[in-house]
Amino acid sequence: MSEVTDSISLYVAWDAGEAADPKDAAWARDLIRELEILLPRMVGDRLSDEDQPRIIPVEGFESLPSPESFGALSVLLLVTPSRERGFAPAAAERLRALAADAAEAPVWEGRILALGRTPGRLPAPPPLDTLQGISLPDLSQDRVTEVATAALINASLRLSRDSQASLFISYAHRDGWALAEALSEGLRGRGFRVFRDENRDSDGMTSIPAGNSTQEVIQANILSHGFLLLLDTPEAEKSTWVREEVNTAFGYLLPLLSVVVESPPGESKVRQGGRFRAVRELEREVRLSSEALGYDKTPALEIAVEKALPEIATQAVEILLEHLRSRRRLIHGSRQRFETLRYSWKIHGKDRFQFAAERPTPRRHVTKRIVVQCSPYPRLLRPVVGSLNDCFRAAEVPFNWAVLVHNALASQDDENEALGDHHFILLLRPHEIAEEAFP
Amino acid sequence: MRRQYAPTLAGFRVGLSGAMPDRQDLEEHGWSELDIRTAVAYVVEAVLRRGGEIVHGNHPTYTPLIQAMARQELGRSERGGRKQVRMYVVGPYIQVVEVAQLCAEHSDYADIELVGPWDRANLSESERAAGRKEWLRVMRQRMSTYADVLVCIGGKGIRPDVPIPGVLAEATLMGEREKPVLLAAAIGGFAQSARELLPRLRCDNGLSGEENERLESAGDPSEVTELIIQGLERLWATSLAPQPAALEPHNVDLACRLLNLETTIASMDKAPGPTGSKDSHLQMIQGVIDRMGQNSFSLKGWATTVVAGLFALAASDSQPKVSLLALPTLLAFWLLDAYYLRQEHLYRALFDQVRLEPAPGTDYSMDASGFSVRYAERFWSFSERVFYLPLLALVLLLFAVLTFLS
Repeated sequence: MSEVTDSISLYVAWDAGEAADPKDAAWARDLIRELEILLPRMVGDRLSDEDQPRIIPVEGFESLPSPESFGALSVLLLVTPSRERGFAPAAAERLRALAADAAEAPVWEGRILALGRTPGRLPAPPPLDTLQGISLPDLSQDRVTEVATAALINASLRLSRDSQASLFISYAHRDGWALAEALSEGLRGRGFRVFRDENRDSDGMTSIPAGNSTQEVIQANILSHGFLLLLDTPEAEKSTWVREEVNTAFGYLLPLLSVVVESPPGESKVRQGGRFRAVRELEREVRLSSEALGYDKTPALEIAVEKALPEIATQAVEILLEHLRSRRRLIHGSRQRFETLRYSWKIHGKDRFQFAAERPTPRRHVTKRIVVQCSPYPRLLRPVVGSLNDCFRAAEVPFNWAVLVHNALASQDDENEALGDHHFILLLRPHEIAEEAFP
Repeated sequence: MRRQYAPTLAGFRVGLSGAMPDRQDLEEHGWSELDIRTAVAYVVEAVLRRGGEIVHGNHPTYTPLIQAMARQELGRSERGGRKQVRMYVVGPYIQVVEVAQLCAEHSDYADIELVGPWDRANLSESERAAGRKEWLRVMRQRMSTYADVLVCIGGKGIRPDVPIPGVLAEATLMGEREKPVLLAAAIGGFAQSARELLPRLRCDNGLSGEENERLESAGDPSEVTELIIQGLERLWATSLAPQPAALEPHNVDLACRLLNLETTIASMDKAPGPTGSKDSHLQMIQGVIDRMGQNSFSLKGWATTVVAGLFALAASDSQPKVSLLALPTLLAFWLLDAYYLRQEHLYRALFDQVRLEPAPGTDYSMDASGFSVRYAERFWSFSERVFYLPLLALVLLLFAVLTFLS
């Protein structure tokens, strides 16, 4: 197994051995070849050379990576075996371990994408039988693009949030319900994790005051997902709930894409960028005709959604890669600043962007050691503090400081709650890294 | 544990201007829209953590960021009851229901000033556009009068429908008032439209020429923040204490009161030109008069407290001379009290002028500087003499008693 890094890694695994279907290996190699051509084209100069995605072949399920070596931005593309063949107990155990996120329940989607080579291969055998998977009857460019898009989105969403990240669909029930439903289904079929709030929005509300429980609900909803897909319909513009969701996404630095639906015939055309002034500034949209409006699914709506899905996926990848590049500045910037202060810098923890910064002191044989964790997500504050604390306490050679460099927004209460008794952990922005911060 | 900062920008009113640059410009310079948003968030946070105040014009993309950051910093820095953000809202861009929304959603952390009457459905498109243009101009003037310095992040170039980009207009106004401007991410179309102005703005803004160039082109939000804070801290250190708060009609309470009174803005029909309800204008002026009166009252309370404290100190340490410190303190309170009294009288004069104005409309002007109220007369007015002179006499008397006893 190659060395683990914190860049995007796509593991392509297939069944091997005497009893395995020999076509699987050939098909997987073809897929790898196609991905190697396609990925650089899709990513382009959106990521630096060192951040370009890597493809790692895994021949045989017994060679699946261990959870420790499965990087923070890794995705496993698994060529599913037939149901009769299934997974050996050891491989099933490894898959469960890979999908497990800390103490939480297994997170199959997002970390593992099941690829069905033939129609009979989906759903995959247990324990992946709950996974929707992507059907790939051929390796045409469109199909491979679908797989690459899903893999990139699932990996880069994780740097926006955590391993459970998903696309959050924000919409007004009154005229966007059917569209939200159709889009969720379509996107899930393409390997995306999607979240759609089933509760009816309170369109009757005229404002959501600070500290109101509605606002807390919205914040919790948005912040537990990584990407806001806004359905910009005439009713959405009037919905206080949707407006609050958009504001929260903006305020908390989340990526956002607007699906603008034209107004009913006879009304004026919606201007470029959509109805929301803040979103218009982003100069991105996917536009649908007014047939997509309404509370009932119609054939016209389904056709419109089917046509729009590739465009939504492509734009989502572009946005997420841009965000990924910006988020990684947190890591590069932290490193640069520590190096300016004459610290050495090396990877310490494999999964959650942990680093060790060291510098000799004027006292002989004494080294200043700082464990640095880079975390760009507000919702991860608590688990990240926990993992930093574990690392600080368990280090064979003791650290002098534990520093969490983050770009999260958190209230004082959230911070205090996350920090608990770990008052030795210093929270910093990258530009706050300075000699006087840790004397 | 958070890193703690000294109040190196205490009371500094930092105007924030900007717009998301065009996507093509961002891509060419290796930026993303997230970098711009992050830079805004970092700068707001850093200014607030150092005791500064953010002043902005309710930019739709930046307002949620300012809101999130200001709420994060709520209660973290001592600012003597002042809110940490001042938000100017151009009335004709919003409808009456949105005024109530603004009050509910932002008044916990910001003072909101509504500039001009809100939008009404019965206006024609040309009237609406003219009203917006005019009140946007007024808002920019007020903002540049109030702010001590302007920080611009991003900006757009000249477009067919916008001959002068907003950031450029705001930076120019600050330049005319000889106030410093810091420009970050001045790239693409904006840099082109501002190329004549840029060399002038780079002067005397707390940064060297090389630092200014880095600020304009830096692609990392952290670097942008570091440079801006450097510039602001240097400016703050050289200007020392900022001027006392400008006397502006204040805040959300006023906007809410206007709503409760269901005041109608009648004369917008006559747009272009700033015209509005006289009643609401009088309410605005009355708000300032009330505030000045409250300031005077608070000062008198403080004067008594300080004198009592000094005497307690002098008596407990048997050091009668300590009590003499009350003399210059009282004098300072008297001077300041007289200042507020004068301001109150200026606004009373403005109130009378608006009240007696025969024309039905008003321009909502809060400029009371044209009236003549002599400071010396206010200083020696009855209400001041009767309070401060006996207090001064008391100080001297107690000093004599304490000296005698010791």
